[in-house]
Amino acid sequence: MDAPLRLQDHIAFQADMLRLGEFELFRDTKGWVERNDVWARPLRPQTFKHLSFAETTEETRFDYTAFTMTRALTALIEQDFLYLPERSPNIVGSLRKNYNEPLRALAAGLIPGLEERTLGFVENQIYVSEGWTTESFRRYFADKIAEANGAAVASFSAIRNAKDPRCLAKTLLIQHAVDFLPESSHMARYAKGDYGEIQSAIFRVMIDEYGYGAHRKKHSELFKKTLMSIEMASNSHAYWMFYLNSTLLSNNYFHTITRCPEKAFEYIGAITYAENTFSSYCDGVARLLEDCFGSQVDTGYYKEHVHIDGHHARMTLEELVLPAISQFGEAIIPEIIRGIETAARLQEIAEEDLSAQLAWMDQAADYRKLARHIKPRAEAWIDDIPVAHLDEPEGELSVTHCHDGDELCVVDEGVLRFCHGYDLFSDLASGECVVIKKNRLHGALVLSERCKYRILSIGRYQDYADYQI
Amino acid sequence: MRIIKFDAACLPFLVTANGRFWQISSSRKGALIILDTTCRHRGGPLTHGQLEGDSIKCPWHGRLTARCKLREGRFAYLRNGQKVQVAMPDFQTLINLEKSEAIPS
Repeated sequence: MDAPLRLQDHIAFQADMLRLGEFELFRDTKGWVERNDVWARPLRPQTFKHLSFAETTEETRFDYTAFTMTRALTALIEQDFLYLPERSPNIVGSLRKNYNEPLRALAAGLIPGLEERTLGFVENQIYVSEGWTTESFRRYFADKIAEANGAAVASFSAIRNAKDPRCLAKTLLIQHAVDFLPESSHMARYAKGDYGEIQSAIFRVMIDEYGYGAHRKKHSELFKKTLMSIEMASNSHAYWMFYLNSTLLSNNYFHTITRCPEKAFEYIGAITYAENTFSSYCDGVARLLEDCFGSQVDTGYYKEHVHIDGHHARMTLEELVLPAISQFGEAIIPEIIRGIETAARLQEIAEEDLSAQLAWMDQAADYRKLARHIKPRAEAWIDDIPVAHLDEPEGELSVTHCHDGDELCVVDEGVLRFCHGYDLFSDLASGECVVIKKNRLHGALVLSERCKYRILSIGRYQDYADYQI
Repeated sequence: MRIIKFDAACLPFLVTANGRFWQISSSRKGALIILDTTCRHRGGPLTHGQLEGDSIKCPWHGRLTARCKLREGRFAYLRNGQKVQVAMPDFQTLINLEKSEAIPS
């Protein structure tokens, strides 16, 4: 009986995703950066009917469907976060339009399925046995943190060695923005309830993040200063289109384990790992930003975390983890380790995804050159290649996305502004082309009155090329 | 107490800890099987013995031990994909085993 039920679940889930696509806040937007609408979360809903929302696997973790579901989960799971614009002529009407019961009801049905489908491939790979003691946990944790804090961060060197380090450094900051602007909002879910000393220990960490109520000290305000110091937008989700799949995935995990109180000890593990590794990471980011932008950049956010997370590292271990073990016994240690391992694995995936995206952006010119190289061969074999023909008007924006294989984009008429990533564009005129690397974030905007272009699903560019990038 | 770390692809292998020989292997579902492969006679390493039907012949004095009598160790461990960590008190050494040398569980 299991299989038919699973099939029914799948059909119902597909139908719910299609209903989700009908909400205006998920539709395509007009610009790359959203400076005004704090609620817009474009999900490319026009593609939903072509997708099968199956569980993500290690092999498909950066594919289009996985990305779509991860984006949808972020959009839905934040439905209990209040976002307000700086100003609004009709704020009550806007709130009712963007937060409403039908959307909440749909979200309540979709969120568990999206979590299972997008995070399952990470969670299912982790198994923690029984039998852990406080002593073995302490040893494991000390090793884990020493290893994490001693590891080189690949994305830092990718940015430093890039042709345009500033552009790539901004891409890094965009990945931080998803979490740093609504800073600690998922943690705030555990401010609720009645659960003794450890509740107050969480609250002590949280009040630091919230600047003790002094708005200018709120950590998100410090981060906004960083963004503004290098002329970046500072409203939440302004850069929605440039979040990577793995960035959202990691953030969604913290939503999931704070949404579900049965995962409280898993959360305690995950946040303790984060707090114990963040100080060292922030030190690296501050140095990187200063190398890229000089004295112009405000690194106050990162320097604050170098300091305060020294305290939070100790507080989470000594005031959360160890008292929880003392209170509830060593049987909770596997849950705590599960949180640590999941958070660490998601960080690894995020670093891998970011490094690949930075390389793709840094090699933008190389992928255009490669396209010119393979175009004759691809066109000679055109009968064997799936081709999408597009004819779009001026201003038509393809919301950023990724493909499951390499693609060749060829402009036949007009001008297409191809987006290789945040603030990195190639204007392609008639006859010009670019290879779109598998799983890499990109988008497009029509600059001419009309633009005719083709997307050739070549699968592997290596099958058409005499060299590799 | 030591946390030993290894890639699951390296399994099976033998660990000496607490004065005993522990064979670590992986089940089909990915769980670890940690067997005490110390001969009850004089403490020889049964992993280096010979299989004889359902028993293993110790390489030291030839005593037979039924496979079903091998005790499973209750060590705490975690597995994250291919990465494995096991908490081992009094860990001494780790000895690689060919798959053919391992005692089937």
